[in-house]
Amino acid sequence: MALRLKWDNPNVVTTKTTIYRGDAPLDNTNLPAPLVTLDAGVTEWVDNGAKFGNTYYYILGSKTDFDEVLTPNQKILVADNRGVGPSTLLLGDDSLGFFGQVLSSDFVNSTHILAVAATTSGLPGTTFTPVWNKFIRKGKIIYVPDRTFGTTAWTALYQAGFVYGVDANGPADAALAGLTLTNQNRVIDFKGYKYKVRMLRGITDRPLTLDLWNAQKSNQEQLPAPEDNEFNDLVYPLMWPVPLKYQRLPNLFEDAPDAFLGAPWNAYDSTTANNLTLTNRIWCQERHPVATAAASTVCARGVRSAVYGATAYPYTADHLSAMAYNAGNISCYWMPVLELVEDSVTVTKG
Amino acid sequence: MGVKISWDSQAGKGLDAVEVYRSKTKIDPANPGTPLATLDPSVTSYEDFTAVNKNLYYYCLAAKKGTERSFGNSQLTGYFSETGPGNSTIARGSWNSGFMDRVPSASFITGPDLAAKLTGLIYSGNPGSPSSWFKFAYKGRVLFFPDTAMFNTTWNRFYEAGMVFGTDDFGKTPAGVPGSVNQKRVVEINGLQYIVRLAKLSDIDLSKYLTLQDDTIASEYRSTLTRTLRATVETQAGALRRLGDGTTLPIMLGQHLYSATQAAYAPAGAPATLGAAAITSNISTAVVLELIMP
Repeated sequence: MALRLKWDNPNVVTTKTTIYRGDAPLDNTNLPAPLVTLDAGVTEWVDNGAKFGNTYYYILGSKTDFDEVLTPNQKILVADNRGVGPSTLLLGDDSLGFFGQVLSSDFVNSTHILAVAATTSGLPGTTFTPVWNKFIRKGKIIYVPDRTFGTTAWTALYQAGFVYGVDANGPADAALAGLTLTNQNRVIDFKGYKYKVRMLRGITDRPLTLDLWNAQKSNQEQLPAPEDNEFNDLVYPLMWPVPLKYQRLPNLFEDAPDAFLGAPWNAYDSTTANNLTLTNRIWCQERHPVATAAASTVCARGVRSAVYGATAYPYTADHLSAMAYNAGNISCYWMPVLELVEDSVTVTKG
Repeated sequence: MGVKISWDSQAGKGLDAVEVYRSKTKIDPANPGTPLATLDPSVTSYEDFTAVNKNLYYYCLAAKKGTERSFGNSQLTGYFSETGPGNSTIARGSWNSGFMDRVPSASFITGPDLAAKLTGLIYSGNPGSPSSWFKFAYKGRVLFFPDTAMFNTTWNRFYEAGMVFGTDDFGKTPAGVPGSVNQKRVVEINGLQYIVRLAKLSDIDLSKYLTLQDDTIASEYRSTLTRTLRATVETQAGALRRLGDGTTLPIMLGQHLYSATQAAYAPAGAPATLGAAAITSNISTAVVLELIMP
């Protein structure tokens, strides 16, 4: 196994690059001999001596005739490194598994996401700094936040390019009538990896058809057979309620659904209760297969516990497995996810 | 017959081969053994006809290029041709310890029907009527647990009915062999055979008294039924990840003795703690049905 190291060199003066490697953190006042000293202009080197499964500490030096400036220790596990965060599975496997969490401070927050929007018109401006849960599902690395990012219209999210995560106005099975056509490939570049901003699929992994759309229930647990989808697999295990039939991972956390769907609400106010149970749901990707207008319906998953009465009704698994079709131009919860982009394009220099 | 595994196409990545590895234990990329199959890189599935019924296997794929290999994660798969009523695959968890289904009593067996099949067991009052049974996989076995207590009786009476240990012998306690009743009590339900027994609340040897909560960790019971409860109910040390969000379980009398005159049991309100009941006193408890795979 070999490890490819890449770096940027912002120095304006001509510098050589030195590379040091250790099995433990290196002391920059007492470095071993460098593995290699590279000529100026080189920004990539393959360490053929690195062994699969080992963790090494690298220090890179920028060296002139007079001085050598060192980087901090860079801890690198030699494996198929796939995106920021832990790279060994805590549980599950490549078809559905969980790696662990990444803090916003070590990754991105809502500001980075808004920065790549086609337009931020209508999007919540508040800064959200979630903890990201790193999953693998069907071979794709997906980061799911531990909260929702406020409410907005699905049509506004579409216009921002944040719905589908494809380099087109939408996937082949999407109906786009009534929308402001926008390319849905919004990519964040972070420490050499690229991440697509998109939303979860809430109904199915298969191409969406009218038959599938019509077969859905107001509670996914009522479906006679599982229709695997990202919302079930990646959101259910984050909270303590466990939808009995179609949660596939054990609970990763025992969080209350409050950060996703709002705290249980109650008052003698049926108008507000009805409004909350309509809009306090999480937007997903799927739109009516024969949508015609901005107000055409879109799949929304989960529902807030909001009741008319003297006491709040605690969350149950049914609040997680709920599903509804809401008009795409009303405001519901936005939960962006980040998908690691792994197919890189090779550019040949002329 | 056989186990089919499939994966996304790796064509276009310039590989020399895709290798399939299989093992009874987790596969170590540093020492994977010989591949079960070496496939063309464009192939996207493999059916293992050499898998043997009633076994657990780890499978692992490796992408091979030249002399270098990149390994995927080991995937544990159970190969069982018959798992009894309800879902035949794991809904949550793994084949080593996973929730399979909640089977309505009407699809399995009702309390009175089970009681009728257990002739010789003396109990007080009426047998319990579970509304459903929790179906679990545990280390290659399939277990069914009722959602209510089944019988109000004593550990001694379970022993006299051959229902404590589930083993084809007279059982074992710290004081020696407790009697002369064979402990493999089998009932037949809808054409399949099940061992009826008490729960294993601990992995410690039956020749020791079970008095410490720590000794319940990773036991059969703590790996299965107690995981259907919320974390706020099973708050005790050693709780595994939750597979359900229930709030109550019935009392579960265990196979282990707590002292010379007491049996250990898992209380209803805190199922990972230990209680002690005199082996001659009535306690209203659930039982375990373990499928005998044909």
